[in-house]
Amino acid sequence: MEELQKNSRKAFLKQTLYLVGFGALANSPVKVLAHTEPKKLTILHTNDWHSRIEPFPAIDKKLGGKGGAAARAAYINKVRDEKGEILLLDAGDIFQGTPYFNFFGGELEYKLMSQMGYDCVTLGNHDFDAGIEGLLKQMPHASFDMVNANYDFSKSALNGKVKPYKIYRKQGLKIGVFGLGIELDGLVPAKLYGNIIYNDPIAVANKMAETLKKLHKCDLVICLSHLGYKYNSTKVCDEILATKTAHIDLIIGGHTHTFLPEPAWYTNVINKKVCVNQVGWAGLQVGSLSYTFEPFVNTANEPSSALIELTNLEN
Amino acid sequence: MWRKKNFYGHSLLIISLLLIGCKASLQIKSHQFINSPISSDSSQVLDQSVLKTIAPYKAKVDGQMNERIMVASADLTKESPEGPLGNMVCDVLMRYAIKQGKQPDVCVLNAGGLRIPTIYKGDVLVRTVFELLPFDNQLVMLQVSGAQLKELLDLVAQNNGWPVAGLRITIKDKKAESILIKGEPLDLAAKYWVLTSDYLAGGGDNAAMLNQPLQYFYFTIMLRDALIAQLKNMFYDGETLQAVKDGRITKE
Repeated sequence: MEELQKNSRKAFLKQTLYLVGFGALANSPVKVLAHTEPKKLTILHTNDWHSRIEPFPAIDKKLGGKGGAAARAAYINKVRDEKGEILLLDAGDIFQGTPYFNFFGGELEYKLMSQMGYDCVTLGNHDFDAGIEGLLKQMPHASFDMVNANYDFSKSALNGKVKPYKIYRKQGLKIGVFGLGIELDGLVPAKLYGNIIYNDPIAVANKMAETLKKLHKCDLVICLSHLGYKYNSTKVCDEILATKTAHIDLIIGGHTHTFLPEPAWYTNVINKKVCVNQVGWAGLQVGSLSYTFEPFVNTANEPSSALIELTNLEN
Repeated sequence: MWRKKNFYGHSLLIISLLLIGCKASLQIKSHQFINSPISSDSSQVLDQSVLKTIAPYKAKVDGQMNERIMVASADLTKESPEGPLGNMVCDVLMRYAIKQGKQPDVCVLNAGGLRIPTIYKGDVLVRTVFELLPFDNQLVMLQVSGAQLKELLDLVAQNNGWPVAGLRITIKDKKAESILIKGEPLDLAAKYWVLTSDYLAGGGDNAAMLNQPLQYFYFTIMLRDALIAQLKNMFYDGETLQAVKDGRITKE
């Protein structure tokens, strides 16, 4: 890690020198630094665990033997062995669905996710099923971050415990992750979510993504969303989020338990491609997205979406 | 000394400014993606340290799931228009609500919410109730008008009978007729408290008439947990489950 940081610092210095030397080229979309090693990052993600610790029981004709936390962990470890440092994320609804939640209130779910090395999760509606107090009680078992930007926690006991966003440095890259939650009114008894105020996800997302991309200069901006993939109505969802915002590169979704056969692609308000992925529920799948980045000396113009190559290796 | 520090500070500042001003933007060059199915069958590698973390919790869950909370004196089957299984669930939930100091007039659930066809004569385990009510639906109580209740009971009739308690109806041409609520004829202008699941209360299974109740009360307990709690109480008091079929829903 330190070595990587050192390397990237070296690279920056080199780039700086090149810029001084080739100042005239600074605004042309020419790959001045073609010799620089591309940076690679793999993102693994889940959503809607719903307390599925064990695989589905054998009597289940459709899902018997599928899923299971020990198998998920083995898969994650295998990817880590191959790729090194990864980013491991979850889009919420970790709680509720098996007796493990009824009996232990989410303690085991958080312990296992910590053990697996999750970096960041967002809150789903079911994560409030034991109330704010129940959630607070389990937080000491979580070694990962929790993000949500559109719930106003200022009047809630969760204030300060859930951050709007977090920035991660992995593989020499800077990745901004923010969270969005679904409207809790009508979904969760008011008694359970208390004084959390829901704000419009689109307005919040635009602000967050711009902050992360422009101010913090993140190489990748990820939204962990528990809004749901898509509805038969105008209800805000990941599809609307992707098309009505700017500066989000990747939306990792949940809530609707949608098994996308492959990530879906949308074009946002500034004509850039946005990737949306969701992997069903119950830990039956783990999503894996591998990005390759190349440096471009082109600070004046945003990289155009036409330059993005899409490699679709497996369905 | 001071000069040196200052010089250092300046050069750092200049370098930082250069870095901020001239940061080469990184461009996404390519993506690869795969949504990997996860399976725990015998051919798969399992993480032993995760299994070790789970073990003590699993032992407790398995122990509690196998706890006997009641004894059934006969087979309780799911039938339509009414059956002993649906009757038992609604009757027991009514008693749970009353024990909480509430006064529901009727209980109505959707037949689809009961997921096993029979509770067999013998021990009833926590596991049995989990299998019967696997969905995490909350127990709620809605106050509705007599007219709204009539609409709901028509829906019950349309579905050839759902689990109910506190009422009697006759199904005629897919409509609820001869309606009695707690022994009294339904008054369309009166107000009634309906004990049900948040699923139906949210308009599930076409119960749209429940979307706009006059008042709403959350028990903040799942149907399953309320049933388990009440069965435990009854068993403690020496009761067992009987197969009750009392003609609360008949068909003409």
